[in-house]
Amino acid sequence: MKKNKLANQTRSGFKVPKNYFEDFEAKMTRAISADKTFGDQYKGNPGFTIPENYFDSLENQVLAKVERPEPRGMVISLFRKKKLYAAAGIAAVFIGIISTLLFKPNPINLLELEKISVLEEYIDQESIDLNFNEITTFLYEEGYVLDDLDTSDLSDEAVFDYLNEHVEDPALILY
Amino acid sequence: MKKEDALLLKRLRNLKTRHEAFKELVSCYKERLYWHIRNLTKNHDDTDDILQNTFIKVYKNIDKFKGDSLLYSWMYRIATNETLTFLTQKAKRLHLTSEELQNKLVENIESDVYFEGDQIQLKLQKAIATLPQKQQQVFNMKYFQELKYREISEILGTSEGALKASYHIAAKKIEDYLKGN
Repeated sequence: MKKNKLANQTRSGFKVPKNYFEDFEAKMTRAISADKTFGDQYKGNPGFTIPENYFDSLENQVLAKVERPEPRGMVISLFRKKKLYAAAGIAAVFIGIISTLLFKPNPINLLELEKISVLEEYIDQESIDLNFNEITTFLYEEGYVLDDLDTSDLSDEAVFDYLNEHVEDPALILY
Repeated sequence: MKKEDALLLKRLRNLKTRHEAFKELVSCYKERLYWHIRNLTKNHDDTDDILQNTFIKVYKNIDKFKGDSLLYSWMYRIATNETLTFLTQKAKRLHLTSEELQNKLVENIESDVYFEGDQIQLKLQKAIATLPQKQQQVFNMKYFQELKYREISEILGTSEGALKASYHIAAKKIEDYLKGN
């Protein structure tokens, strides 16, 4: 081989850029780092950030919440409740009257009367503060006039039983 | 229980010193717990809510802490439970499965102003979202929070051996995901 070698041909003929080997280590380190997909490169750093000064006020925010007095239960006005009962009572009485007397051709159902009696008792205890004039006006204005009521379908016995049971002063019952 | 924990607990249980002691407690653990929660929720606002709820629970239940474990691992457990409950409720509210929710959380990262990671970090989050919940926890605690297996074991109540296996499997799955995507 040596015999065939050309004179002064000691190199391969390839050339490298100037300073190539001088920067080699730095370039290799950069290349390895960039090529790394998963390893220690992102250890401890998920890439998330936080708003500026977020941690500065956290203690006070938490303390303000834990030391805030417990909220008391909601106070419900007795008067509001009374009005609600009154409204419900009135509605129930009229629904009861209409459904039992006007639309039911059958004799009065005593069970229904029992329910009405509960409502009446409620009214008697002055839970609904309505005077006679107010009730009368309401009945006329709303057209619930009972003068035209056809009572032919009511049996005398049922009416008597009802009055006997519900009217406190028996002297008021006219036989 | 560590001596410092015992002292802090004593002060937390005394009405006169409670305020200052609790302030110290929050100050000491806020960042660690924050990043623990944030790595699971991916979102700052959700993390803030959960972190505050965690500390409120700690405050209200400090008398129930028996000292069987370290104070920080007890707090980590509360934070973990709060976070997982929050994520379950969020999935329910959005009518999503937990997998679908994970995908949604990662999708939101791209437009999140509080994410400054590069493309690889984003890909890494996508890869983590494909893991089962327990593996996600283990991976986050080991890789991002750099906790020791002993500490993770105390928090999650899993043996160190099982945690090492879990982390190894999680890391392998993530590596495969990154290579394939």
